[in-house]
Amino acid sequence: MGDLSLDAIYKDFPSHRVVDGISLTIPQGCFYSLLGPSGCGKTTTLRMIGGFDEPDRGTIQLGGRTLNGLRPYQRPVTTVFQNYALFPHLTAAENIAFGLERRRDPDAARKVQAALDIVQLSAKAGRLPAQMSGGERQRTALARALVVEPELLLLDEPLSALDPKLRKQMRLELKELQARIGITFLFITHDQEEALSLSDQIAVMHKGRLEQIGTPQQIYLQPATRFVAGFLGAVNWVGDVGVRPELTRISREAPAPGARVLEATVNSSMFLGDCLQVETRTPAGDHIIAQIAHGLGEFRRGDRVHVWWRPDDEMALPQ
Amino acid sequence: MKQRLLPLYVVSVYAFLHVPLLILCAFSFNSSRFTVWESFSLVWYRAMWNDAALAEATWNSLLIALASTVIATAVGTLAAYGLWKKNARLLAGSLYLSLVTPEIITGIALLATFQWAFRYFQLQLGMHTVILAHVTFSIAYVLLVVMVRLRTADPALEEAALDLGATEWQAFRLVTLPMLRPGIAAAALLAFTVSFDDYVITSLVAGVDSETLPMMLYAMARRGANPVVSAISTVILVGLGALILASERLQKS
Amino acid sequence: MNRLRALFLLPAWAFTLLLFLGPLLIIVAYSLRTKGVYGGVGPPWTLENYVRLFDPLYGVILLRSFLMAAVSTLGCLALAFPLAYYIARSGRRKTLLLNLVMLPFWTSFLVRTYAWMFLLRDTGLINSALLAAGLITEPLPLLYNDGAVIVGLIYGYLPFAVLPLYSNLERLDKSLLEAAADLGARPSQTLLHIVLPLTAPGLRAAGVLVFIPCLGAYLTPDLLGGGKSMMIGNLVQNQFTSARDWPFGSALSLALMAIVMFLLWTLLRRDGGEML
Repeated sequence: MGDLSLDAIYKDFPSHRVVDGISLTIPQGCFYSLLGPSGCGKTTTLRMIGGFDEPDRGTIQLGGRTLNGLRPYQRPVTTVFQNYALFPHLTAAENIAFGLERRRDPDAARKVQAALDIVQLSAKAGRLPAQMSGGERQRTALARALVVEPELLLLDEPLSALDPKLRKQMRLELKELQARIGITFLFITHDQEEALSLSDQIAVMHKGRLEQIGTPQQIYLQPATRFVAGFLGAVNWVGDVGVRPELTRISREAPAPGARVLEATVNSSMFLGDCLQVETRTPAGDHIIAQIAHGLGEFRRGDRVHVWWRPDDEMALPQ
Repeated sequence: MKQRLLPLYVVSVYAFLHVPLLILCAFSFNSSRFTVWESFSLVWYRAMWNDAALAEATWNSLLIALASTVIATAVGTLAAYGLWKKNARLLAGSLYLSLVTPEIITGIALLATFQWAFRYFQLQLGMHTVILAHVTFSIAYVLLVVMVRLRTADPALEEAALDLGATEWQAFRLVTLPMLRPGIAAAALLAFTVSFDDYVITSLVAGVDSETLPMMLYAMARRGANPVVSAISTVILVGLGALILASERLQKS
Repeated sequence: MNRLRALFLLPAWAFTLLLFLGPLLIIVAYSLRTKGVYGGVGPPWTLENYVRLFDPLYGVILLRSFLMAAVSTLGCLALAFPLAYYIARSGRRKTLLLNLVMLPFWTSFLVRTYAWMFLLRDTGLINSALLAAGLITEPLPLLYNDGAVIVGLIYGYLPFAVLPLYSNLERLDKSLLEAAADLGARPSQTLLHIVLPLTAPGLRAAGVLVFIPCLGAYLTPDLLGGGKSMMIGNLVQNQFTSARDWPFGSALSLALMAIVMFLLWTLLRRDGGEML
């Protein structure tokens, strides 16, 4: 067991460079997310760690041992695939036993049972993938990958195939499971909410490069680039300065001194359920959106208002 | 198109496709030797049953079809798997080309090749040359059917197997092959059908000891009206039709 | 993974090289040789066999083959288009209707050709029925002519036209037809301005897929045309059997092969990977 480190990884596809010099270290036992839009190279990075693709340049090490050139079955790494890739002709139990049988594990039967218990699938052991619900498939895929006791588990958007309600529940289960067994999880996702809520560390990827590595708080509140700021949530840009709509206040009277203030005119006001979203326009032409709690006033199109925020909430990111 | 005209037209096209065959089958049960209906009789089936030469030709056809199906299915399935992600355009292109090459050209080219090769080896045309020829044209059919199955297969399944510790061979044998089984069975049935039915290529590369059922049927058809031909035709239609239906079902499953 | 895959391709390579591409190369070599005294193939090398392709004696047969294949192709398209259109619009019965087209196709080409001999010959069903009804006194010469061959070709290759047209028409968005009607187009105008342009790739594919086997047909003209309606395929067979002129037969085969490949190439270049 040990840290996973990628050192200057490059990967070219015939038409373009997919991974453009990625270096990062994932501490052992960490829940680590690779976050980025589709096509940013995160899946290719995962496939190179899993051994399904080889990097053109750079080294991949796990606990000091180089993984480059090893076939997938020679690496102490397993994967939960995006659509789970459960073997359709095998039952849940047989799917989970597959890896143990390849290793001729004498204790396979007991381990399969234990794995089924952990993911609460003992009652569904004899079901084929086609007879399972989305959540059950997801748990089978997790159990199948974990039962062979990998040093590192790769998860390729494992929640994206689930419906929104189930997704939130599985998110909790996943976090809880990782905390319990303590092995390193490398989680690939394009959903910033998922990454923020699950991860110890997040690396944001864009066009094959790493934009920023940090804790969820750092990434969200102190983004290193405009791309990171924009990818993790909405931003009001005023020149080189950005502020998030939920940290932007709005009032008819001027606020107390110390705040950054702009005068603006209300363009529209929208009820979003958990908040009220007011869209305004400054004389300079900037659009400023404020999301405020209910009961802080009503705003109509054409109202003259002040929009303001605390200097601490500003993100200074030159274009 | 008018609402009533189209169905009428479609019905006529279906009639065009099926009525000739239905008539042929119906008259195989006619007691008269002439194409005027007399009464129901199995006399032509009895004549067919008692024909020793016919039995021999049928036996030859079955042997050839069976042998070429086994070989072509194995070769074609392996090739389909090999072509799945690995691009081999020359091989794929050649196999598809063999599908559209006029049979007469395939036949004479094989005949010329066998004749040329036999100058160097003491061999003659016979069952083995027919089987080799049938394997060659059946591979492409097998490839097509198995490829369809593979195209819908998730490549991540094999990756998952490798990921869990299976070698490439184990991934193929334990994951992909079981998944392909219905497709392979469908392909085999199809290969059997095209082999059993082939006349043009077979007649060119067959030897004296390897007359097949289609060759015999052809000779009888040319000789003139003979209700036994209708009886044989009916048996072939029903037999091969059943195989094709089974193949269809497997492909859809 | 690639090593195993490459290994799996070996048997197919062996068969293709030894029994398909190799034989074609031998035919290429033979086509450049001279017919021997006893019908063999010998020196010297020559282009004479290709020059003879333009001999009017054979030109007639080549031209006739083209015409017959063209007429049969048009016939197939005329029958297949409405059929494919109907099947594509028939919901859950689609598979059944499609299978009804394909089933006779896969069973036995020989038997299907024989079925037409059974109908058309002098003592066949049609003549017997007409004679019995007293409508004619002598059997009509229905078999052993170009018409019989064309009917046989249409009958034989109709499914080749139905399949590509069906898959094209099935993808045709029904709302386009409704939109056309909504904008005031009569059904005939919708067909002409919407359906036909959108199914042009299907029509091209169907046309080529039927034309190729028709042009290279051997069994159909042999059985239904007798000696009277020869096509290229019969001429090839003739050179390899009774005429024993293998070099000329080879040149003929390659000319036919070249046409087939040219047609496929134009189709693939135009409509791309849709075919395979």
